[in-house]
Amino acid sequence: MTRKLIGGSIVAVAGAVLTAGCLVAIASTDPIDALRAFFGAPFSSVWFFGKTLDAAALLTTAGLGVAIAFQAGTFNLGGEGQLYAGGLAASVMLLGFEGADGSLMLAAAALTGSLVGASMAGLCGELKSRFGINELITTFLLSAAFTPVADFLLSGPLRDETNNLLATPRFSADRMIPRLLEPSALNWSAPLSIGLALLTALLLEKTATGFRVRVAGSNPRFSAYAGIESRRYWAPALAISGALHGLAGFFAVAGTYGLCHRGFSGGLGWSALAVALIARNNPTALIPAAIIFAWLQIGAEAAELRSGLSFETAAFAQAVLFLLVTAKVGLRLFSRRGRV
Amino acid sequence: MMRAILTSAAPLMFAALGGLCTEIAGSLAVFLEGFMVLGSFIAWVVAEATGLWILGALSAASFSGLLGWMLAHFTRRTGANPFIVALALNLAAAGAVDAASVALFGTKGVLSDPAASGGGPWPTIIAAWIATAATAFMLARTRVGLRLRAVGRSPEAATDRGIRPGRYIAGAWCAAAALAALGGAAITFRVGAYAPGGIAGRGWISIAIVFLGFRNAWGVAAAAVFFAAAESAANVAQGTAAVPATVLLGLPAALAFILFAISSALRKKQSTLAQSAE
Repeated sequence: MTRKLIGGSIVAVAGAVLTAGCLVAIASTDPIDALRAFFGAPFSSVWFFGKTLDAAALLTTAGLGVAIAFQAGTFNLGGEGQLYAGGLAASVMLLGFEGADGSLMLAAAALTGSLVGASMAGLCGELKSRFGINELITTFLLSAAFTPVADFLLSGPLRDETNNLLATPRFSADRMIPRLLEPSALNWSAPLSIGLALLTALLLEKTATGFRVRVAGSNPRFSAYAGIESRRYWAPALAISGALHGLAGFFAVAGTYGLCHRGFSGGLGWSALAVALIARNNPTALIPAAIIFAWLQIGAEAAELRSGLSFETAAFAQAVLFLLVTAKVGLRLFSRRGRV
Repeated sequence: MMRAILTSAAPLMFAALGGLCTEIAGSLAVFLEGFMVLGSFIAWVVAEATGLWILGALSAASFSGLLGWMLAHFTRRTGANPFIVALALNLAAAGAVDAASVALFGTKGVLSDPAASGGGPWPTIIAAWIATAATAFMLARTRVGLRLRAVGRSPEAATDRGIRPGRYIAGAWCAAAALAALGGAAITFRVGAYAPGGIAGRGWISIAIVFLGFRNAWGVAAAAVFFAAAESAANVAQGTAAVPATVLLGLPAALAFILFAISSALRKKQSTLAQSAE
């Protein structure tokens, strides 16, 4: 069973890498050079190496959010908006309260970002458990409704007028998550995200509540027989999921960028979903899955830069990954008579 | 005014009717957004190349329909999660359209051509209402509709009755994809141009409209018109209150969120009332 599932993940990742590689090779004038950029990108410099690991940290945190929602049997499709909202709220904290202690403000910003994300997803969770409203649709719509508001705030009221960028002013140096590997973006959010993943694994695997959540999520009917009411876990799980997305937003603005720019969360939510799927929603497996995915993403970016590709290969790679990752390839696809 | 509302309701009607077909067959049409994007682009390309908008609409629908059918078979044969497969399509559609736009026209920007204006607003509006009538008739009065409903209620029971659920689900996906593509084409024809990001979540809103219309074809059409009217009323009201244009882009999704939540809550209340009455 597990081996089959891992096999599916490997097939999906291989398919994604192959797709991205082929596209890069076909579309560029110098395929060898582009492919070298694609695969070697993370090791081409300290800057790229740190960037890859930092991207993996963001994906681990947000992917953890996706995985927890899945584990409890819910679907959070609003990660993108929760990331954006969390990052924006955290930025407001980091830009305000002049004179306050830097690390205190960082903690406050992390908390604010998480709370904002948690309330967005938690609201949808409440609506689901109270009124049976499909959270797959509400999380997405709420996120889509919020995004233009954030876009507006970042191109107007919160914007740094002295800069051409549609972004907030830079945070002061003591209000950024300390870097680990100068000059790259790698910072303390990476070890923190690993810690969070391991802690979640521990809670899910070793505690009674964790066990109940897993049973409730994997088989609502059976859990009802066992006296576990699935709907009790929907709202908390979605709230935690939103909180982790908000936290990832905080990590992105306070760790990676040092400011909040318009659309910074673009694509991050969907990538986190991909990572959680590769990891089969297993918190520990998220860490390697995030690193592999970050490699794929940074590699595609580097190859696009190198060969001047004008479209995103990452989108196709991701699509192939989604297509294959839950498929039990080899079981029925290649059997001559698929039962239809 | 009425014409403007009917025009902006038409794409939603097409896509939501498609969503209704899969909903009746027991699966949520997460892929509507992707097929709308694909349809809006293909319709423009073919209309521009041939000068015939009707050909654009037909090729968008048939290509998407085929793809939807293939996707359904892929999902069934591999046991893949249909939501995730649908998300794959949404991502691939956005990526493919971008790449094709660059490859064919050398731009990621707006593509416009008067040939792609769909012969004015009326053909699109009329086609949307014909599609509504046809879907309503198909679902309520034909054997296919009845069987589709049976498959949606219980695939096992349907199988026992000699119905092969896979066929009906694939058919529903095929129809949904084709209808969503027509919805996308309607958006292109409305302005005579293909705009990247022009679908802007309308596929998701259409899913909400399926439920807003109480899972009934005429209900879906009414819900789409109601939604379009509410959207235009809100636009007018907001315009006077000087709300920034960027924020208004989020209005359809916000409106869909509220209406969807209210209608789902009402239905839940109704069903609990019915249960307690029994």
